[in-house]
Amino acid sequence: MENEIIHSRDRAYLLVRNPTSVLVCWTWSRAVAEAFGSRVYEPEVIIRLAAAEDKALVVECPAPWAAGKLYIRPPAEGRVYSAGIYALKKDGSREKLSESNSALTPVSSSRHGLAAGYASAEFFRKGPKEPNPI
Amino acid sequence: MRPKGSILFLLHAHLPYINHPEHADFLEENWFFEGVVETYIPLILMLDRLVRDGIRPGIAISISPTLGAMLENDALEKKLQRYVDTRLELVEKELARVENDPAQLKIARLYAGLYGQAAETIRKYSGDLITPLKQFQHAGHIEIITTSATHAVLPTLAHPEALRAQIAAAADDYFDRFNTKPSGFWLPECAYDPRVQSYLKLSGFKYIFTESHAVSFSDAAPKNGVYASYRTQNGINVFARDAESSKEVWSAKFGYPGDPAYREFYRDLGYDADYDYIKPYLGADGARRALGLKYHRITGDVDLAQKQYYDPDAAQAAVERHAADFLARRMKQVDGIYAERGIRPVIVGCYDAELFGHWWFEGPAFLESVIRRIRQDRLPLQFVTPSEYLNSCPEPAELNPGISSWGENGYFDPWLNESNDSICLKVLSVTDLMIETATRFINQDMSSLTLRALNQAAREVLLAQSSDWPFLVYIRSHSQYAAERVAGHAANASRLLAEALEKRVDEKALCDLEKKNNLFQRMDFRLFASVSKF
Repeated sequence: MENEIIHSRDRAYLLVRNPTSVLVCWTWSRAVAEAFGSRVYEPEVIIRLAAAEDKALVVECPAPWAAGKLYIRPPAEGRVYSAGIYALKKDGSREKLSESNSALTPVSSSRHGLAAGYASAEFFRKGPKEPNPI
Repeated sequence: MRPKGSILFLLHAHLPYINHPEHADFLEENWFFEGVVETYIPLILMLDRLVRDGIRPGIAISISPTLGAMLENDALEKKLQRYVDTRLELVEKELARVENDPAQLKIARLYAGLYGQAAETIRKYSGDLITPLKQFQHAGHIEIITTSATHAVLPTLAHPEALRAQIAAAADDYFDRFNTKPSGFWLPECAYDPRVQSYLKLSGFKYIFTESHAVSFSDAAPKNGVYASYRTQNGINVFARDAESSKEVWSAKFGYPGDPAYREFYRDLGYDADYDYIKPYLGADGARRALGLKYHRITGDVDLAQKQYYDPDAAQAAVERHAADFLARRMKQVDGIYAERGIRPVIVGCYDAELFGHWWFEGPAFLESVIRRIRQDRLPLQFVTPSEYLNSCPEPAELNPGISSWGENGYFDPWLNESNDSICLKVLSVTDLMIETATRFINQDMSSLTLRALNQAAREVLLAQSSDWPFLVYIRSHSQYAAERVAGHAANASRLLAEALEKRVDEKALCDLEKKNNLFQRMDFRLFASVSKF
């Protein structure tokens, strides 16, 4: 994921998309990016989604370190989660690099008609589509 | 006649902040000109007619701070004047071109009226269209509320500092524009998550609007459904949108706006006319574009080429039929709710204001007809503003709304998905940088130049957070522009923050930005300082 802003610290964020999907995204400080580049760490990081109340691990997924994002399906709706990002060292041990904010997921709605979204998108959607620029 | 129920109409007027004084002509600025001519002025004139006839409209209008700033912008006002003048010139040519074709002449005369009334209204208020709205509110005819500073979808902002800044800047902006404190807050895209409550309370807001499933999936089991207001633990009142009446008005497929007699939005003289004829009215790039003169009606499910000529009289007949149908359905709905639940319900209809006039050309006429008919037909319904309702309703039950939005699928998919999530990361990164720098400077003495740089950086961060950019990328409409706006605001903020830290602010560049992105005059960068140290 392209992001020109370089921070002095590693950053991780957790955003809620819908009841069954959250986005974990991250940026690296220059030092950590260089560590990945020079193979101090393995090229994949581990994303650990945990319940915020007791820190119990609920989902663990690998992702390329430079991907900058990963969508995860949380196992339960209506719970508060946070995400930790871990680097794998050559000796197999893990190093926690960053921890996200915590976020509450919604409960799902299967109400009839909701998918149509009788809102702003309704009229815009009739227009011609352009290619995605990003 | 004692009302059996109330209708609460909220029109949400919003456009992203688009101001390019460096260009004589800029494509996306046309959204503002079209909004003014096709929606805002027709609504002002509709309110004026109702008031003159002794009918109190009793509707609520949310005016976003970005739209408010554009309505007060001198450079945009001059461009608006030019836009109206050139349209009037084109309409004159059209009247001559179609003088022997009665069907087209009738439509050309309609546009002569539309642009003529726009020119007259702009002249009457000396270009200041906030003033009549302020007067209507002052006289108690309508209630005006606000929304987040740049229309950020608040649940997609990870930082509490960003929530506070979006809400507090909007409250200040409203006070400066309308000379009174705001009561109501429109959650952009009806997007709610519980973190907003404390910041709304801190900024003095009394009520919000949510999508209906925010109430049906709340922590309580509200027996009155969406037909009453509720109150959160923090004392914020909650109105929930009624899906039934929303669908009738909103849906282009199943709702009134899709009637074959109504004007077709997508067929436009800008694409139909001989190129040399319309060239003087196109932009500097010479590319064909919509000019707002549309001669055809929806007709039916046919190609644009098969559309038939628009007939204003037939459209007006459809308006009257739909207004009567809308009210008959509300009467039935109110009677049913009373029989089932024993309450006099409030039916909450929330719509983008631009639906009325811009997208749905006949929308203002529909709204006017609905309001007039309640009086004329002595219907036991009343239009209420949110504050009016809250002043007279029974004590609201306590409820904490569920996380939700009014968009596709009911959550945040349109503003956060694989097509636009790189925008989110840029916004989160620059927000982090803003918080870090604001926290560092919060208790420091600084030069006025550094203070200006930090305040402008805060404006740039707010502008990057606008919901419009990820939405435009998602629907692939002006997506290049949207992506560039986010990148531009993030770059501006990063540069200003770095200059403030290094005590080498480029005053000329700062002045240029202050001139271009000149909203939130009272902006205080400290709104972004870390919540724990604030």
